[in-house]
This record gives sequence, C-alpha cells and structure tokens, in this order.
Amino acid sequence: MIEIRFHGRGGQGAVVASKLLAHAVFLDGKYCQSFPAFGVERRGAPVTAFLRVDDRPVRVRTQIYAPDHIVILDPLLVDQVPLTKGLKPGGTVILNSSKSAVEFKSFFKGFRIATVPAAEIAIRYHLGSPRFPIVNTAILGAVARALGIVPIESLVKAIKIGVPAHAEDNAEAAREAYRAVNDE
Amino acid sequence: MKKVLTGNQAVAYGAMLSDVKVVAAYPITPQTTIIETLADMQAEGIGDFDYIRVESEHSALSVCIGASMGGVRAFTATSGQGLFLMHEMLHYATGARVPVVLANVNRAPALPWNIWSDQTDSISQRDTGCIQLYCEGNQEVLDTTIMAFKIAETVRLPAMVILDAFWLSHTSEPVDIPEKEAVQKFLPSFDPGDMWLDPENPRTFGSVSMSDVYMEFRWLIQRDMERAKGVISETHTEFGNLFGRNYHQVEGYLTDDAEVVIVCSGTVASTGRVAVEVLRSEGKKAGMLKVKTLRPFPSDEVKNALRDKEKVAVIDRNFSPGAQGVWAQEIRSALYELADSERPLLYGYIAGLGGRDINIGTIRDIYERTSQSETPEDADIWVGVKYV
Amino acid sequence: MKHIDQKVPTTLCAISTTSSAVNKTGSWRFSRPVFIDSIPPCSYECPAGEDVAGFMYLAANGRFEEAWRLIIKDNPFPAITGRVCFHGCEAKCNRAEHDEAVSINSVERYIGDYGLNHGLTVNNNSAKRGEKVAIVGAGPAGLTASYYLRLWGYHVTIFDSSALPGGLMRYGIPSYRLPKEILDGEISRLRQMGLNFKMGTTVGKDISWNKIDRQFDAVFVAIGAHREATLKVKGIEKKGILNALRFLREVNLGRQPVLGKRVAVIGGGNSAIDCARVSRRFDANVTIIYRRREAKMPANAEEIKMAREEGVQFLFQAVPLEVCGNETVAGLRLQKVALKNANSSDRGQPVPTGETFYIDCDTLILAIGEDVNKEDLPRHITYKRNRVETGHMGRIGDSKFFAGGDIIDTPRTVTHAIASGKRGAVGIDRFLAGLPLGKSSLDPYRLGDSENISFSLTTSTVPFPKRNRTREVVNYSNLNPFYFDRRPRMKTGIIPAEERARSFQDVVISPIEEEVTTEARRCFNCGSCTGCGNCYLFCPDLCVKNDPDGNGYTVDMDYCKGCGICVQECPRGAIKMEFVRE
Repeated sequence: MIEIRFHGRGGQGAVVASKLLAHAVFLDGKYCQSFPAFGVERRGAPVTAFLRVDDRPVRVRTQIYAPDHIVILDPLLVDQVPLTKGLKPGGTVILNSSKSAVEFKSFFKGFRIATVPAAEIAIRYHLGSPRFPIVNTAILGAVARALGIVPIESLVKAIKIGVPAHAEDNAEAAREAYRAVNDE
Repeated sequence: MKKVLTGNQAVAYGAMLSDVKVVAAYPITPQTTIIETLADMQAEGIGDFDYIRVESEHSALSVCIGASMGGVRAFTATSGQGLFLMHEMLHYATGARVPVVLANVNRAPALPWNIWSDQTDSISQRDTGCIQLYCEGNQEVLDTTIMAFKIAETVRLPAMVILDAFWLSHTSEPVDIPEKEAVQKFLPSFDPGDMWLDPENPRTFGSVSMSDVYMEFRWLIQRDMERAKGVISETHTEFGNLFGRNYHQVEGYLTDDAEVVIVCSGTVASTGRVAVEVLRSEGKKAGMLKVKTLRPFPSDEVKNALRDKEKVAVIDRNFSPGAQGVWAQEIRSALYELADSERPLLYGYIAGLGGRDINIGTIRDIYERTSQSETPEDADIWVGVKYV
Repeated sequence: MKHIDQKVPTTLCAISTTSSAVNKTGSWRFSRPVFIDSIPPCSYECPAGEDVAGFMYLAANGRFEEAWRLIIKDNPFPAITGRVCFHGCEAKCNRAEHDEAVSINSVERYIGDYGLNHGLTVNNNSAKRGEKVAIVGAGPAGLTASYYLRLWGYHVTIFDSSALPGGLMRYGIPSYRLPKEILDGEISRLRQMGLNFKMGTTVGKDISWNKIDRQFDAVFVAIGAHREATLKVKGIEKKGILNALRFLREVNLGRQPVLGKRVAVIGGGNSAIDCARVSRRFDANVTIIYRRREAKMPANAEEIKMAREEGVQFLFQAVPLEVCGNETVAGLRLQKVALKNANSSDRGQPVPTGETFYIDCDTLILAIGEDVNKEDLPRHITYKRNRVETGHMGRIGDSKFFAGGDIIDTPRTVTHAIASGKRGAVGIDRFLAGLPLGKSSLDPYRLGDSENISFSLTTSTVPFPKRNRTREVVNYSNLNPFYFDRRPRMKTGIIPAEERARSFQDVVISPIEEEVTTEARRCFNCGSCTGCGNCYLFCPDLCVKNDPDGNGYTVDMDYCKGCGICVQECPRGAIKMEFVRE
C-alpha cells in the first residue's frame, strides 16, 4: 500500500487533487481511499489531504502517520508546516516550484525530490487567477511522472471527468507538468 | 458500474436507486453533501422525487412521516445536533409505523462543538424504536441504504443507516453502483397496504389511545422489532444472492481460536480487520466481531459468537455518562444469558470520541491490555485520555 | 415474550377500523364558513368602479388581454385614465398599511397601452335596437355614454362643436400628460363600434335643441363648463391676461400662444398646474399664486411636485389686488392673506392681512374655474348651485334629457366624467325600456353604499367567482398579512425635469411587462377568492373541496365543525364565519 499526503492551502485544490488521483488509480484498476484532513478549512490556511493506493481494497480507516510520499502545492508552506513529519526515509517530495530539485536537496535531506513549475503552468492555462493559481491538476501530472503510480492517460481521463470546469485546460496542464518534472 | 464515491454520495445513490418519492432535509455538517447530491440528482432528473426544503430537522422528519403516511417512500439525512432535534419525531415515526429511512452521519454532541465522528448521536436514539444499521465502508453504506427500505417496509418501522463522520462521509473510495432495474427487482415500489391516508377512505390516524390499548400498540412495536431480526437476516441473504455482497448483523473475523475478541462497529470494524491480521502476524490470537445492528439487538448471534471465548474487548465510540459504553452494556446483557462456564470476561473501552483516531496502534493497545489483565477492574477504560 | 391479554389491536397503530366518514362532525358546528365577495377599497373608491383586484390578478399572470377586457366593462379608456386619473384608489389601497400602495395607475396604463398596441377591439354583439340616442358633447362623459349605449345596441349620434372628439381630454389636457395618439387610439376604437359623429356641429346653433328633441328618443347632454370666471380686481381688462382653458386649447391645437417671459398663474387647481407647466415649456418664468397653503391646493400632489421640479415657482396665501401696467400687464400687486379655520377637514377662509407686495410679470393666466354656460343649454333645464339639476341617473326632470360631465354636480375629472356617462347610459337604457329610474334602480351595480357603479364586480365572474356579494369594504384587518411579503412599490420612470420642461412628450416612461407583472403581484386581491388553496389545505376535516363547476371552493357541511381555520388562513378576507341559527 502506498500512502501519500498532500499539503496545500485552502483554495489551491489539495483535497480535489487527492480525489482526482484516487479516481486516476481507480481507472487504472487499483484500489484507493482519499480523504481530507477533517478540519475547518479556510481559504489560504494550510490544508492537508490523503490518499491510499493498494492492489486490494483499503480497509484501514485511520489517519496517515507515515506517508510514503508527500506532495506540496505551495512552496511557501516550507516555513510554516512540518512537511516531512512522518515521511518514510527515501520517500519522495513533490514540490510546486520553478527551482530545480537540487536546490532543495539540503532542505529535504534523505528524501527523493521532484519539482515542477505548477504555478506557472496553471497560470498559462488560466486556472484560477495569476495571483492565486489553482495548481492541483498541474501538480498531479508531476506526481504521475515522479511516482509512476498511474499512467498519464488515466490521470487525464480522471481530470476530465472530475474537475468542475475547464476540463481541457486542466488536462493539458497535467500533461505539461508531466513533461516538466525536474528531479535529481 | 464502479465509481469513486464519498460515503455521502453513496447514501444519495442508495436513496435514489431505492426510488424514493420524497426527500426532506435540513443541512448540517457532515451530512450536507448527502442532500446536496440528492438535490443535484433531482434537478438533473436522475431521481424522480420531490425535494422539500424545511426549516429544521424536526420538520424534515415530520415531512417524511407525512409523505410515508401518504403512501410513498420517504428519506431524510442528518447528523449530531440535527438528529437530536429529530428525536421527538423518531418516536412518532415508530408509533405511526411509517417505514421512513434516514441516514445519520455520526457526529459528536455539542458542547464543546465538534463535527467529527462519535456514535453518541445515534446511540441516544436507541429507545425510539428506529432500526439502526452501522456501516464500515462506502459500499456497505450504499447497499445498506437500499436494504434499509426493504427492512423498514417489511416490519413497518423506521430505519436509520449510520456512517461515521468523515471516515466515511468525506472519504472517497471505489463503490459498485447497482443497476436501477436490479434494485427495483430487489425492492419493488412501496406498498402501504391499507395503512395510508386515503382521501377516498378517510380514517382517523393517531388518535388518543387510553391505557386499555396503549400497551398493546407498544407491544406490537416490540413484536415487530423482534421480527425484524429475522427480516434483516433474510434481506441480507437475498441481497447477497442478487448482488454478490454479503452482510451480517454479527460477523466474526478470525474469531475461531481467538483468545481476545475485539467487538467493533462502524469504521472501527474495518480497521479492526487489519489490526487483527497484524496481531495474528505477530503470533497473537486476536479476533474481531463486527456488530452491524444496535436495534434490534442481535443478542442470540452475539451470544453464539462469543460463547466460550476467554475475553471480549468492546470498543465504544460513545458513552452513556454515569454508565458505560453502550455497545459494552448491550453485549454484557446478552452474555448474561450464557452459563457461567461459557461466559467470557468483558472489557469495555471508550475510544475515538469526537473523531479521535482509532488506529491499529489503538487496537493493539486494547488487545494487549485485555490480554494481560486477569479480570476487568473498571467497568470501562478510556483509551488514551490525557489526564486520569 | 408472551402476550397475555385477549384483546389485540387489529391495526399496527391507532387507526380507526371504520371509515371516519361515518362521524358527521358537521353536527358539532356552532358557526359555519361562508365564501363571500367583499368590496376592495380601490374599487369602492374608483368613480368608474373598475375591478382592480381582478385586472391586477390577470396582469400578474400576464393575461393582459383579459385584463383589458375586464377594465373596459367599466371604463372605455384605460390608456387615458392610466395617465390622467388621479387614482384615489391608491390612497385607499390596503397595501399602504402593509408597505406601500400598489401602483394601480401604472398597471392600468400598461394594460390600456397593451389594448392599443395589440389593436384590441370591443366585442359588440348585442342585439340591435331601434331607438336613437343623441349625445351632445364628445368629451369623456359623452363618449362613455355613447360607448355603452352603442354596446347595448342603440343608434347613437354624437354632436360636438369642435373639429375632433375628446373634449377637454383633447383641448384641455396637455399632451405631455396625455399624448394625442393615445387619445386618438382610444377614440378610434369607439368609432369602429359604429358611432355616428357629427363634429363641428353646435347644438342650439347649427341644429336646434327642439329638433334634437324631436328626432331622438333620448338625449345625453355633456357639453362641459366653458363660461370663464373672472377676477374683480383693478386692471383686469389689460392686455396679456389669458384664460386657462383657452390658453390650453390654443396650445393643444398646436398654435403658438402669445406668452411673455414672466408668467403669473392664479389658481390652485389642476388647470393652474397645467398652465404653469405648459408655460415652462415655452421657456417662461412661471409663478403660481394661490390664496391658501400648498396642502390645501385642489391640484394633484404629484402634479405639483413635477411642476416644482420643472422650475415652477409658488406663491401661497396671496391674492391679487391690482394688475399693474399701462395697456398691457407689467406686474401684479398682491395682498398677503391669513387662513381662518383651516384644519384637516376645512380648507379655511382667506382673510386679508393688509400687507401688500408687488411682483413682476408680463402675462397673467387666470385658472380660477369655469361655470356652466346656461345659454348653450335648452331652456327647460333647471340649475342648482350653477350646475344642471339631475335625478339619480342623470335625468333632467321628467324629460328624455340626461346630463353628465362637468355641467352636473360632480368632481371635474376625466374619471368622474366617465362615471357620469356610464350612469347616464344606464339611465337612458332603463328610460327607453320603460323601467323606473329611482334611487334603488342602480343598486344591483353599486358597490356597497358607494354612488359608483361597477359592471365588472357585479356581473362578471372573471377572474374570480363572485358569490354572496357583501356591501362591506375590505380593510387591512380583514386580511391575513402573514401571506404577503413586504416589497416596495414599483418606481415609476419619470423623464428628468430639465428634459421634460423642454418637450411636450409624455413625462412618464412606460413600464415594461416585467415591472407590471411584478407590481400586479403585489396586489392583495382584497375580498376575492383567487383560488389560492389555503382553505383547502388547512381544513382539518378535509371538508373544503374544489367546486365541481370551477366556482372556487365549497364546504362539505356534513363534516365542517365550524372551527374557522379557513377564515383565519384566507389571505384576502374572502370567507367569513356565520353564526348558525338552525
């Protein structure tokens, strides 16, 4: 079983990202369980969401304490939230940033790092506003590539079914992010 | 058709597939997305029912009672405080013998305010005469909603489908959505018999009953609650035959040679399955017993499942102040009927109130404590409480 | 668990095993509900007796043609009255106690215009009659009388000394209040009904009253009041002094009036306001001089407001003493007056204070009223306070002559003229049928104790069933206001003052359909059963039933316990409890 934790801020789409990825792996024939951190979400406040992926039905219904990977939708969270808490050694950190993965090497010591300029891509596809881009579908493209847990086509299909608006732009953003991943 | 659904969406699908004719509800977290989904279904024409906005949960259930007395299938959903407000009408629904189905998303009672999972809301409705069905996964939620109508309509009593806040309500996972035709075969249209408000044949409903007959009407409720035990089993069997998914009022998991049987309900049962597998892999003889129905209480099944077991640990995500966790009380009562030699020791654990996580570690802890104890010292043990 | 008692309930819960229909709860009754049709205050107040609640209901549902047909049962000119009627109905509207009165006038205007824009015509299919009726005077009263008489099959000939019909509606009211094309449209519909117009024919001059008497079976006289009153002040013979009606007539004929730069208008009625506003449109500085206070002005308050917005000045509590100047008017010497005994009911008597002052002006318009010109009328007519004396239905003495409009004792408004024409038509119809013309003859058409008569409310079952007509006027306390939300009255679009003062175009912007339906929905439909279903829904005994003939609801008296819930829940006071004395 793979456990993934998403970090974002209210309004960026972290919860939807975990749901979309759940849909994608489901379309690919796997079992999944996606849930938000059950809190009182507010726009701009730190938000977490979770995803379990397995080859058999997921029966454990508890919080995720030791994720295999984390996905960070907002690089500014680096200073605010203990992002790597519980992250298994050697786990992957997927980060929305225009910087290269190497630049985070000292910060995320002991983990595999992948970066993707998700905000730039989202803005290019007019997702959200330039001041507050909705980066969730872009970063999922990077997750698909960096973790290899789902083929990009399944992800694109899940995005097209699952997003409430601008299906094509969201799908294209994911494809572009898939190609733009930078890892060590 | 398989889809990734939240537990709340699963409820909505269940109600829609059951061909409800009236939905009346009032929003409350974490239930709201159930009625939002139903409202969407109604607006899009997927569901052919009247959606009635009301001013409170009390009215929501009142509308459903009226609709049901009018001879149609009615549904509502609520949570926590909303269920408390429905309490009066739940008794009424039972007395009126209307087979209304409601979904309750377990939410902790205020104060302090808390929107997370806790069974105290539904447990508090234990004595209303409403059938209570607790679910462990979203598939079970959808299937149970459909079955609840059949059970309720067969015994003419209201039924409640119960799912844990967030752990099911807001968690997405794959759910097999049955075809509507198949559901209709399993659950034909509601036939109210002659117990409905027929304008062509006006009769007095719910008039005053003096003490010479009141007890008899209450006895009929009890008779049919007892009958419901068989009906629930038959419904489970019939559903399993048609859809290939089997449910039980009481289900043991790795209990045969278990030294400690951990009794769970709701999502704790789901995690409990994994927990006992983990404990078994560590060489510990743990088993899990899932109890799906609180009312009617399946005392015979519980008795049979726990007969001759050494120790039983009951996890209650609820408690009755001044007494103990309610599942523990119920099970202790059932076990009283066993002979001394057959009767296991019973340990009651209060855990997970207000949404606190009950994880594999929690269950292991409960197992270890039970296993190491020679005799239950306290009536209940509060797991992980920080100051005691 | 064992059950011991032998008596087991045969049902799961407390349900009667026999039909509760055997229990005829009607025998418990002390009082019973009765569906009634009471008089809405608007209709009671309306001189023409229009079914306001009815046309509001139809308009609210977009049924404008039906609304129009309902209005023209009582008033052949809804597009005209929708503009010039001073809508006393709105002053009495029960909605005013709730939030604001319904803009009845705007809705009527829209419905009237709808009739014109859609070329609606009057269905005139009553049997033709042999009798001939002469109408003398083609103003609102005469035209209304001819409309009804023609509708009832009579041969009608209309005589008027002017070139075009309309009377004061054409020659008195300025076109910014009543555009000529609206007037022409409304009158052309009457022409289509087969009326015989003899325009440019002055009865008593071009054709003698005797000849009229001989040739016609009945005569309706409504020639209006044209004798100009004058002021008894020094210098009143000077040049530059105009009479209001003649001034307005000149302007309405499209002629350029001889008007100076500083105009003084004397008078406080609607003609004074009309003259002042017309003068503003010729770019004059205008001052209205009135002897009492503004609140006591007979003119309509909205008109006063608009005049002021357009730049008309007002001088109150002043009377002219002398018209100054050599041969032509150069100014006015005025005296301030005090008001004696002025209170809410009494307009008060102006008394001189002795304090005089002077204003500049080069034109003086006298808008101080007109009297009936007795020389224009047949000699057998008698007068009371300078008005033609008539019987209950406008009949003059025992003759075949009937009178209406400004020559009789009635307020001088278009709507009152319409009312007098209608009354006269009924009188002539009865006279020709040999029926009595006494005080009670109009009772079947009267609304309660009102003098106004209404055909729609008394004879029509559209749009509401009319049963058990009462003589009571519905007031706010008869309604259940719980069923009516509070919403502001529609805003009537008025052209900005600077713009209107430069033009003779209609000052009101016609409302659009949505505004009208929204406003019409504000109407309580007081006293009428609109079939809302409250009584049906609330009856605990299910004994309120839909009437099989579509006539609202009926009550099954076998079961009505007389609880009165239907009365309480009726939003519009259309049910009352009646004590049973069986």
